[in-house]
Amino acid sequence: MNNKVRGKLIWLGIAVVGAWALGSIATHRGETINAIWFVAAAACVYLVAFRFYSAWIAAKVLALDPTRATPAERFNNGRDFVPTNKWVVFGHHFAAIAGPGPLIGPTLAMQFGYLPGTIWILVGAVLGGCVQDMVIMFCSTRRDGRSLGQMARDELGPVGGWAALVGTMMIMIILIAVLGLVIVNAMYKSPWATATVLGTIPVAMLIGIYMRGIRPGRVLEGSLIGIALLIVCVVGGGWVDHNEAIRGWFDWDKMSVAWFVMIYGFAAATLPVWLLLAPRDYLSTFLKLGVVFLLAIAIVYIHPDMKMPALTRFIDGTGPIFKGDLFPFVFITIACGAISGFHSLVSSGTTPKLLANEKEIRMIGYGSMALESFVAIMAVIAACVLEPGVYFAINSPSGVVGKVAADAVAKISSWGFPVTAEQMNALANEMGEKTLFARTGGAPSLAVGMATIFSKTFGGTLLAVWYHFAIMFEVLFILTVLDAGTRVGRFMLQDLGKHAWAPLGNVSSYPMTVLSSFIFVAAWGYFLVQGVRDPLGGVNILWPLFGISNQLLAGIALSVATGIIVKMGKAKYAWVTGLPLTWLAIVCTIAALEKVFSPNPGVGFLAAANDLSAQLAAGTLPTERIASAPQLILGQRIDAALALLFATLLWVVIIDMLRVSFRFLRGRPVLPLAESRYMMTRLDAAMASSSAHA
Amino acid sequence: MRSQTPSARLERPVGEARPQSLCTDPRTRQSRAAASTAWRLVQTVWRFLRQASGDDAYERYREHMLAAHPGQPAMTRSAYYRFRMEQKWNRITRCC
Repeated sequence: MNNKVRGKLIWLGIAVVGAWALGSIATHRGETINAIWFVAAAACVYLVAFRFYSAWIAAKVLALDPTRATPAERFNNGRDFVPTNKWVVFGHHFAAIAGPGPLIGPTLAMQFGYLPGTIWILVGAVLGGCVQDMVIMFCSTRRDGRSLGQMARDELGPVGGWAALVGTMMIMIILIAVLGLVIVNAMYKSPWATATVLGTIPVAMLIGIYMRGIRPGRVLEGSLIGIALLIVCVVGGGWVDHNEAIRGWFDWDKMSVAWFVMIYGFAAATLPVWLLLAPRDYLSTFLKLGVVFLLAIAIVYIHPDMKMPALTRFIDGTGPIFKGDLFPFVFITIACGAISGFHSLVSSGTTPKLLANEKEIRMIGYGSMALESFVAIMAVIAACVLEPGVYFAINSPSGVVGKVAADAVAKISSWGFPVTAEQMNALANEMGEKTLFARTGGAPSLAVGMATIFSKTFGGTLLAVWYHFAIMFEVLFILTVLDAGTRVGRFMLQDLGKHAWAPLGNVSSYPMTVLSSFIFVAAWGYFLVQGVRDPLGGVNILWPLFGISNQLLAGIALSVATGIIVKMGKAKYAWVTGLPLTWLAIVCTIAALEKVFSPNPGVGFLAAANDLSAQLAAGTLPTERIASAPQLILGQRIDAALALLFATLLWVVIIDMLRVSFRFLRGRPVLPLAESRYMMTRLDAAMASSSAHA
Repeated sequence: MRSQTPSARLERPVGEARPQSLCTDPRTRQSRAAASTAWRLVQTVWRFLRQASGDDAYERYREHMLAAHPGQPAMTRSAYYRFRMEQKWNRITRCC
């Protein structure tokens, strides 16, 4: 049998296994289903899509040219433009795009059952997310590594450019606020988690001083020492928790944790990066890659049964974690893992400056996103290995199920997900916590799932340590986005703000740094505090808003990509990015309109605001809620305005793209394709092949 | 003429000492072909780790300065590290 035939048979085999696994997941209606089906289905789908779809896009749509010199080669300066081994770039790119999003979104979306989320993660990634990342990386590589905002301005015009800039800034504010809220819900009234997370800050600073002053630039050494110290922090947190004299110092309420998060964000943005931000990022990146890798192995090794049903009754929109129908809200809740607009910011500007050869765009752009999507599938598994009753008890806010344990378990059991107070107490006890009720935000339930899987893999002990290790891992993950985002947000604010007041744009002035950081932290802090005050836990408000903003950014990126494909004379292939764009436009618009105008106060921001003000006027509001009610009412109205702004921005860019495309197709003048001139690569062909086999 | 850019490879940059901590007894290595293959693998992984984490970034920068701008003063290791950190964290390098 020759190699060609054998290759075809192997791919046929992978396709058949994938189809079989997917079919089993979709049609299975027993009590439980084994997680190995999900791993198999996901792996086969990604492999087939990568082998065939991405190869077709690379050859036909983008026509990747291995003889063309990349920006890294042409501008090689030994600093940010450096031709780099493709596996190293793959690692950098994956570490950059893989954040807490694909862990949290799928966990929350499991209230609908495992089926809708799983299908969206797989289909959304291979037809949407991976394509977006790959095409945007291509566009940026052909344009000297320009950013998405610059490309929108160059290719579509100033309107598209401004929309991209404003959209990016808004998504950062909402993103940081919602992730801050996740931290709050994981840390409040948990001395162990609080002490551990606080301990990581001096560890990061110590490592920062080590890498800057003691052994400059020795990143590996410093990180290894740091990781060891982080584990000491987890164990030390347990010691604090058991020490009656000290534990009270770390027993914070939600508002105190929120203040901690804001002060941390401000400090990380204004202190020198080498002291806190950079070393903490090294630690969290190593931890992130290590834990993701370990989790994959552990899931395959213990192949747990998934106890969540395929579909739950909450597809009718009455879910306790967030309100809203299956359509469109499953597609909004799971953004990262299926398609995440934020990736387009890393795929343009940062990664293209490292590519040694254009043909590597396929593996790095499409492949990294497929891997991130696999992380989302692991989050699905970790959420579904919990008893559904336990999952809902952890994730449902007390405003929905009641503050008293007996009420909560009665309510959740009445939905058909049996759970008892004793069961929850025993679980909290095992995890080293006082209570696990109403720990919304997804992180604690994910940590329980991960701790269960890890503990089983390593002999069934140390559940509490694994739980707090998982919490620390998630919080570090989130702090990375929070501090890096605050810092970049500050630069964006200075860049935008200088048009209003010129001195604000001076990035080398320390007072301006402090002022702009303060404004930016106040902006996301406003939404964070609003979420903390909200009696329904805030996730219900902020996560959908974040999902819409992330999909808006994906819509902008896909519009830029579609416009470029049309202007390249490949209009017949415009559906490659046009199809996911159309889907996102439909989903995003309907979700935004529902979030604003739905008469159901659980879904619509305006209905919630009106409902609350009616209660306030009628005097039916409980006394403890009267003081915060006016702020909540204002907050809901601001959220409504934001959702409308997001939908408007999306349509402005889509219409701008359509205008440019139709003008081009009719032969009218449009902005020229801003692609840089072709230059033959001078990098040795041997290098290209050596990096392929490295 | 075709030029080579060594930094694009997983190769030890010129002038960089072999990582001492991973050295085993040289006699063992010479005596067994399998051990030497394993050793090469360890070295590749080590170089990959160093390059991926940026541990060898300064060596690569020095190499680039020597090759592309001979005679120009290069930054010190400490200054280069600070410069790289400032540069890296001025743009979006982390996602949600």
